[in-house]
Amino acid sequence: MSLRPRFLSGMATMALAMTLLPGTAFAAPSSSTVNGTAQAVVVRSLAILAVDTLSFGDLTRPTAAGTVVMDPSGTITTTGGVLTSTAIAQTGARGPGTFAVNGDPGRLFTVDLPTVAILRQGSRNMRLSAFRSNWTSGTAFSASGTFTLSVGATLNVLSNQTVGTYTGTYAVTVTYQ
Amino acid sequence: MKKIILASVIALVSTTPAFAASGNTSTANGSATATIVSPIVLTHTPGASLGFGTFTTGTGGSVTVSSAGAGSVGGDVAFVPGSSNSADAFTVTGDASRSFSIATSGGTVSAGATNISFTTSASAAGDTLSGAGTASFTVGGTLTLAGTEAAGAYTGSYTATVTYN
Repeated sequence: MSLRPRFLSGMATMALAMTLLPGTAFAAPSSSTVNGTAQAVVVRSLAILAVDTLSFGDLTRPTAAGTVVMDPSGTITTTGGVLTSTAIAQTGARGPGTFAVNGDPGRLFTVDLPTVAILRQGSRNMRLSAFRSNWTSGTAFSASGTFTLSVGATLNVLSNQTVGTYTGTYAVTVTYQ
Repeated sequence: MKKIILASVIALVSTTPAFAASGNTSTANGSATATIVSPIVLTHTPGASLGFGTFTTGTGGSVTVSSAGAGSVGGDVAFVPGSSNSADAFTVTGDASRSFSIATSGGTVSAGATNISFTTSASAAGDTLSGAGTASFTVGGTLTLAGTEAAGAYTGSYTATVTYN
């Protein structure tokens, strides 16, 4: 019985020594250095700049309400009262609104258009609705980091809309995806 | 521990707007414009008429009235003494200083079952409305006669159209 504890303590000492040995070997160099990695990607800030005015040109006052639809491509179609009193393209140029958008080459982005905007002439107004653009889902910046955004909308003209020039603004926001 | 977690959440939330403002999004205001103009209205001057006058046909020919109202004959046609000619007249109202084009058709004058054809020519192919939004023009024409038409008073009509350019 008296031998047994001594034997056990001897085993324990051996086990302890074996455990310590690899530890001591690992700690043998006084220092060790490896290189970690770090990375950062700096992306060009998004910028949008208004270029051309969204212009519906001149329209003859209709006797019944109607619409003029400007496609982002510049194509015009008319409905309702404006159909018969055809829109006149004379002095003022007609065309979609355009914006110069700059961003990170190849990076996807989204475009937010307003649902409605108001054109005013004094207390009179006309409503712009159904904004649309040449941006489609999956559109990315070109290799040069540019995109020309064209914006169209539907102009709602009331019957016997008061003559004159109506103007207004609309906000367009671009965001990285 | 609770305090630490709370602090880190606040830091995360406040980072988001800062990131957005740094160029992840951009907004611009575009301008839009549309102009409504007065409709163009054409009115026939009351009492005015394209008058080819009174004439004998002979073996046929033509009567021409200039847009200034001067008459002349061609072929075997001859005006009778006392005949007079006149050009037709129209007034236009619409958007001030806006240009428009004029189109006039030919037509026929009739008496009973007999028709005589004529062509028309306006004093101008187009014009520009004055600062007050008015304009006017006249119309002449040429009546062609076969020489077989029965004597009588012939009347008819034609159309005139003005369109904004």
